[in-house]
Amino acid sequence: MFVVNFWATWCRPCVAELPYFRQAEEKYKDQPLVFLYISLDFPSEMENRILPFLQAKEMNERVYVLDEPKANLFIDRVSPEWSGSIPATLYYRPGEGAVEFHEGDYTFEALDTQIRLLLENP
Amino acid sequence: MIYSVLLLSFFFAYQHAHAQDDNIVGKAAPDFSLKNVDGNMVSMSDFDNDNGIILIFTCNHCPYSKLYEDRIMELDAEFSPEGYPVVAINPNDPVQYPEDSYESMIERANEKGYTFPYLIDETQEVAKAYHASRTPHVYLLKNDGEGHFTVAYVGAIDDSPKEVSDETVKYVDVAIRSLIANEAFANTYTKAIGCGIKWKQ
Repeated sequence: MFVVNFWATWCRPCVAELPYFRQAEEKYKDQPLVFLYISLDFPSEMENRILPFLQAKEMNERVYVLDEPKANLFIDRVSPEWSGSIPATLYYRPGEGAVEFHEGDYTFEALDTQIRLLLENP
Repeated sequence: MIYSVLLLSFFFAYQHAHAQDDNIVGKAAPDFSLKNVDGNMVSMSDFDNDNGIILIFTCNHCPYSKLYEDRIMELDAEFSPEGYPVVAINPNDPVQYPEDSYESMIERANEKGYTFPYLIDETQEVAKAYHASRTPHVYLLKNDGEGHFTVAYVGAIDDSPKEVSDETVKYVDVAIRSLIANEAFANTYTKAIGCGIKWKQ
């Protein structure tokens, strides 16, 4: 299952919840989970903003920058429930598709509960 | 470090978009009566003699609101003379975000010379009534007469937050021009990336 977190360096609640995702990654490292971090930062900010941020946070995880300025084209494709605000998290099983979507931030407890629920109900 | 610039179009399963809470296009616009930065109350009825209202949920702190700030001012400059003034509403909780406090709103409006009302939604009831979810979030209202306003468009100002080019689709501009010409228009509902509204805890 993919845990896909949509965030940006400029988004305060996004940055605040990143440690919880990394904590969850560590906790569930023996589970078939892949955590992906999709940044909505502008790609032009790679050198002056995104990379320094990742280096400072020592983020070695799979971070991608979504290079599509026309957000109206992709928001519904991530989830029709998504209004476009970040942070947002998509849970996706290959072959099955999206299994859960959450718009808004998480406490560690809420994230942990959500992941556990999905792992226990394949 | 693993990172790359990637268009993840292969990744997402396509799903048909179904109705969302904020898709109140065609419905009666919820009323409002909120405090402006000049201390006066501003209500929907104040616009009974206008053709409509460009209602925009926005704030001081959100980087996307900042990107759109000049464009919001331009919308008012261009369309207020045509009977479609901007009314900006800050829906955020100032306790969590002091940069979005009433005092900060006054400062910003004065500093930038806002020509439109910048209202504080203290109870967040107006934001909830409109099912607003992010900043900026636009609701174009049309005056049907006799104090009745209908929602004509919901969504983004245009399709390009970073910068405006010749290819930019200006959703609100097109919508207003269509309303003025009494013509239908295709994009009545759009979505955009933005900061989530900061709801009170």
